[in-house]
Amino acid sequence: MTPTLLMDQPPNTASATPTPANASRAGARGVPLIFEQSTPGARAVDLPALDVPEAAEPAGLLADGPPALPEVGQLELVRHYTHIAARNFSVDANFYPLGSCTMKYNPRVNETAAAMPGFTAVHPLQDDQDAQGTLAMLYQLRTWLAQIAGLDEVCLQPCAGAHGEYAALKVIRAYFQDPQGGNAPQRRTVLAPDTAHGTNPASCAMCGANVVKVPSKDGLVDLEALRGLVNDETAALMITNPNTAGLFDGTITQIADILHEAGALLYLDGANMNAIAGVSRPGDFGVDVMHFNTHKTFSTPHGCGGPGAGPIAVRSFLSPYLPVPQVVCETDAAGGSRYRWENSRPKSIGKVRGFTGQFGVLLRCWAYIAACGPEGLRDISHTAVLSANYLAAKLRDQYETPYFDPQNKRFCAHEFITVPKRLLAKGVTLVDIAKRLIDHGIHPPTMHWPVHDCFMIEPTETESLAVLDRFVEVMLKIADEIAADPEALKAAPRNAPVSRLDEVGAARNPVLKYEG
Amino acid sequence: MNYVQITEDQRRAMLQAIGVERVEELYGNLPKAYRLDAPPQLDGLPSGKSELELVDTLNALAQRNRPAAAPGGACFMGGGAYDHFIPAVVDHMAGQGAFVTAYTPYQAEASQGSLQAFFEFQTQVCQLTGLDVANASLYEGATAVAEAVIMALNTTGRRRVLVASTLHPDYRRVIGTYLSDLPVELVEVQADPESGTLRVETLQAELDHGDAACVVVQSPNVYGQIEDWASLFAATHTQEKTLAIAAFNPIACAMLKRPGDCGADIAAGEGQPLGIPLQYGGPYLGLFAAKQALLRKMPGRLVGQTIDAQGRRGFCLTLQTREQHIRGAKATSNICTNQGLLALRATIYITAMGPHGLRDAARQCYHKAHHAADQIASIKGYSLAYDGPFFHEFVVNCPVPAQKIIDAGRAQGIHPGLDCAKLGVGSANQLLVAVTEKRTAQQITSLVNLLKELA
Repeated sequence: MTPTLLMDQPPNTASATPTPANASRAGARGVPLIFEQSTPGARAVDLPALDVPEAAEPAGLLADGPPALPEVGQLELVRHYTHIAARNFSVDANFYPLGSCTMKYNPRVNETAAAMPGFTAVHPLQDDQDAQGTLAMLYQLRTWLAQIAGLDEVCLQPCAGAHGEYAALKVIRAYFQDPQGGNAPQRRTVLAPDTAHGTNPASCAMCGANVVKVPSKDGLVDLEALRGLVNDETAALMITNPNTAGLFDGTITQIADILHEAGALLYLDGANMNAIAGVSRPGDFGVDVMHFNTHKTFSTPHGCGGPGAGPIAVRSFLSPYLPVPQVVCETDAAGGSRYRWENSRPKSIGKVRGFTGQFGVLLRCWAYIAACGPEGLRDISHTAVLSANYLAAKLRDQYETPYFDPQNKRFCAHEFITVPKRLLAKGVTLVDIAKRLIDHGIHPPTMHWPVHDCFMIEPTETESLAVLDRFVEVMLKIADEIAADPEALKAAPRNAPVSRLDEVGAARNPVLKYEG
Repeated sequence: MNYVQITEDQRRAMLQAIGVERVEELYGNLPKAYRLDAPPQLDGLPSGKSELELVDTLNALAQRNRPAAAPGGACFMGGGAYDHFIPAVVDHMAGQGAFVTAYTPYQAEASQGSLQAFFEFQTQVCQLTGLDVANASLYEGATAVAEAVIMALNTTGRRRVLVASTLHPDYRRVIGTYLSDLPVELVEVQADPESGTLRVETLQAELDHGDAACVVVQSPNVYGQIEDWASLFAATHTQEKTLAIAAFNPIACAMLKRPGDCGADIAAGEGQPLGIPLQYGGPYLGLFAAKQALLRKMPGRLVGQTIDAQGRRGFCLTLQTREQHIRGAKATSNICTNQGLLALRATIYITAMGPHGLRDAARQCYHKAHHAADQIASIKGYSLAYDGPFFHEFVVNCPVPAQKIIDAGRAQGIHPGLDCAKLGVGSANQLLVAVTEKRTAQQITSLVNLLKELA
């Protein structure tokens, strides 16, 4: 349940029929925007008086006046952002069985760590000797991620998974363009399964690579089709394993062999590492390059959509092309470890961002791995897989699981898909079921992906058995509701701050800012 | 501690419900040869740490740093990241679990808090830039400017990009990386060595070669000098279709003419000055705004206003057909995860400061920087490297290597600025000094005395 969510009253002062475009003016406001609470003259904070003489100001370059921004007192500010926070679902308050996104608990101690002034007050351009604690930590994280991946070198710089994909694809491209490296500049095609994350083809396009889809068969890569598509223009295959259907692709080594025999590389999208971290190393099953999503596998908070971090790991033959700079460790005369940024990597793809990385995110990632330890990481994967299989087993009588069949030893990884055909046949849509879950304080699973009309359910390892059982109970209750009166679901959610929103109308005449 | 709550007894019951005896059976599809018999070796981490041990270790690491912006520290370092005052209310409001641990707001009905905050953020960015539409954030400044260049290439269909040499070198390098596998020519337009800014005539000459997709000019630029955006962008628009991209500093926008006031088509910049700690370079915040006509080419998430079934105002992600999860290879960008929580911080910071507080902060930056510059330029052996107006950062010619000044300052808890040679924007005897509203007259005097001692 979500007792803290604030309910809006229906509009009673509407002077015109509200539409997406006129909602602000038609008296249909929910919680007022901060702009609607502005009181000229109100102040939330002040600055000390200027303690130096004023200089001449450059007349022709000055703005006409202060920017047109709201003026509010501090208590108004606090109430406003407290009120709107209460209109959010969050891991702290709600269960998010959100496949491919790994919405696990975000440990509070990691927030404490990230707020330590010894970390937050370091300027990114300080000399290396002033940042030895930070650099030591980054070096250790770099080492740990390589050991978890079973690969040789890690670059921590990418800002998120998609940015990691981008950087890794640039590395692959640089390798093939190098006469002393892959020496095959014609290899510009990247293969991606038809179930790939949308970022995969988008990242390829940004690198100027062609993308070719590889069809799936029974939820796995169709090996015959793959053989037919691989040729001397293939740079790599981007694969997710366990894949987006929630299955370990047992043919992974055959896939790797097909690629490698043809002179191409195998790229792993690490979105699903929560099933295998500490259990299986991508480097061992033939992966040449991969990215991690720290905000999935390593508990860094999603923060309403970011920040994340997308470190990449590579085999040593790809190391020369990694982005600069790289954090390195040297032994000084006294035998101690000194850390510094290394910029001389002549074959590097260059810089992929300003400064050196999402440090505050990487720090949380380090703290999480340090807390878990090797044994704890392995247990995380085991428990995540156990919890997903448990849910699948409990739900499959009402919610069909095309790839999960325990009687025939067909299990899922840390997530599974259900295509609830029988329920949908009764006249409800997947969205109806999703919105009804909101009424029960549960965030809807990922929908319509990787196949149409599916839910992709990922419970993560941090949920208690009571929460898993309650989810089953709610899902079965919704199935009963559908059997009794499918039309009733069309009105869901009834118990959220707003009822179903007109997303089509929002896109037709976009209103993207407050205009009074 | 790995934060798993399921007990051994529950585990057994769950295995039974699935119909297996051991969890390893669930990994049946994964060939045994590729499963580890034991947990992986992690260097220096034989086992997981308790919270107490973890905090001790973190404290020990933090103590090995000498943070320039520690309380009381005299931090004159800039170069794209600035030590501004952050009201306490920002940490408290942005630190609420309901924001920190929320997911991307794809399910609008469960995400009205985030969506409303981003709608407010977009409005604030439009006000600060003077442009029509803003997105809900990109990664950080350099990639935001690179995305602006990609957007200009996609919009104009042209293949030539003009970038001012006064753009931050990291930004130039990132643009270089982003364009390196595309059939695009990247031209650096050289600044006037006297003023440290771009001359209109120099830009015009490059524009006259024709076919430029865009012109990128940063102001205040990497030397801290204020570029004449209005004239440079007027020259840009003498060319049909060529887009003007302003790389901007949001604090400066509270005092100086905004990108939109000067004719920019796209404004992109680093949002770190808006309430985000230095934290060694990230996570920061990419700001991105554009003219209405470019809306459908914008990268990143956009939040729009709408109504619910009862006619109440609500918000949702919109125009998602531009994005990778719908459009794949034809998306305007590959960005998915953005910097939501940092955008939220910026929104709360802007609200806390208010229009007058922001303008006051900007003016104090300006006056304190000019006070420091006057004092430094009056020391024998020191001079300002460039003529013309600057905002809160300036280059000083020194009689000794900048590194020597930085090392001497370290001993006194003063961080005098950046070595221009190391940053790639000048010689080893040039120091880049930034002065924010946080610096006191006394700290400025300490800096001046330090420089005097080394003259």
